[in-house]
Amino acid sequence: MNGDNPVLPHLTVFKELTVFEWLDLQHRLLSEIHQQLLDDPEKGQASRCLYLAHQIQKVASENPIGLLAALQLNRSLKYQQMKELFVGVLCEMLAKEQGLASSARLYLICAALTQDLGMLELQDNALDRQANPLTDSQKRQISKHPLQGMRLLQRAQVKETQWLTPLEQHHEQPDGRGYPSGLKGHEITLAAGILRVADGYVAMVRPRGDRPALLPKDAIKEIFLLRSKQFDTVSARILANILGLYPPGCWVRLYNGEMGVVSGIGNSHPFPVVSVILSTEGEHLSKALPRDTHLDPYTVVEMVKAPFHFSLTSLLNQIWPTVKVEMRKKV
Amino acid sequence: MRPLRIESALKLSVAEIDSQHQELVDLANKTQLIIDDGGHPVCLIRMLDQFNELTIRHFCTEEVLMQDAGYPAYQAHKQMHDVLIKKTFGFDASSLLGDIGAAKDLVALMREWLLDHIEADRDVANYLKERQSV
Repeated sequence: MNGDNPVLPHLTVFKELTVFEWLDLQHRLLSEIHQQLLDDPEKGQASRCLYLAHQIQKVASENPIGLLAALQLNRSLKYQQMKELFVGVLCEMLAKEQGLASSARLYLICAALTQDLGMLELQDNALDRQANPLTDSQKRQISKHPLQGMRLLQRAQVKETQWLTPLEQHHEQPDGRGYPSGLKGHEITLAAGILRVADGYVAMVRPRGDRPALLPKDAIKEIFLLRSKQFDTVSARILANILGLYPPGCWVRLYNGEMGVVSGIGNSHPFPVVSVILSTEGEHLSKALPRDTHLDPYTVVEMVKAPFHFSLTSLLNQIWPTVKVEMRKKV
Repeated sequence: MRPLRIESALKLSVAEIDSQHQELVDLANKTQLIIDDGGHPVCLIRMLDQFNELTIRHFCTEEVLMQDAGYPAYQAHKQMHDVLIKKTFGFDASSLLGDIGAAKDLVALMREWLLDHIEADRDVANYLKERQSV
């Protein structure tokens, strides 16, 4: 008998997950969706993708800082799907700021989650660890991936242009030097421009085989310097506004010597709240302490690498609110 | 050093831009005041962060306005913005903590930046006023 038969009685239970656990759950779901889209596209994966997009939209609204922090802090080696979740979350936030309707944002998140479907294998197996320049064959595969991804989705019965168009155009550039069609300026949809900015940022702050990760502040500057050439100007500015110079999840050293993670927006823009886990003397604190970086002793002096702490995971789990999820259990 | 002041001829009559210019000028003046009053050097780091953040916001507002109005020297003006962004984002914040020379460099950079920028905006203001009167 089919285990998913809807007539079987189910019990709905609610569970509180940390943002990290929630993200792991969505990561597993997206990995499954990708695999199924490649192996068996007719099996209703489009609706599962929309369900995932809906979950992202909900948590991005209820717990935006925790979600951004968890994505920034994640350093999973096999991060392809984590990267796409990060891009999806940023798309939701950028698009909301620009007044896109909720339904259009859902499809845009779907486009973000499936943007590299047309070169998933290449991404998983080679590009992230490859230190050498791209081969000609890899370049061809990359330049075809927007159209290839679109074909795969069409095979899975996806017909919505609000999903397919941003995916098709997510490597087009305002200066007309992008691919696959070399569209320019207003020929590129707003949604595609948003996806390109979100994707560009996430790619820059992640390490790649041929270069280390950029600091978020430098990535924001780079994207802004490439505005109106590679990136849409307004989306580039909104990205800087949403993330700030010290985005959630970044590790920083304060003027008094304490170290912590950016954990909240704070009352005095652009100075965030930092949750400190190492004291001035380097002592491992048993509980993260919030600091207002607008004050002299707590001013952010520099970004640092993740520090060692005996119970880092447990401390991080307590900083951001949990996410309530509905789970169905068979009875 | 005398505080900076925006003369009325340099106002673009676009409320958002004029108020952002005023914010930038206030930041440069506050930075000077911190140095003059022997304030804590860590305050200068916060001034620099605010200046960087406001720079991005301001340039974007201005460029969208120029593009919408079809300002003919848009590309040259944008290139000037790029040079200014590289200068402020490239400033070494940690040097402000132990070096009074760095603090003076920061004020000099902010003042020079603002004077160049607002001077170039005079052309934009004239262009917009001409368009309004047509």
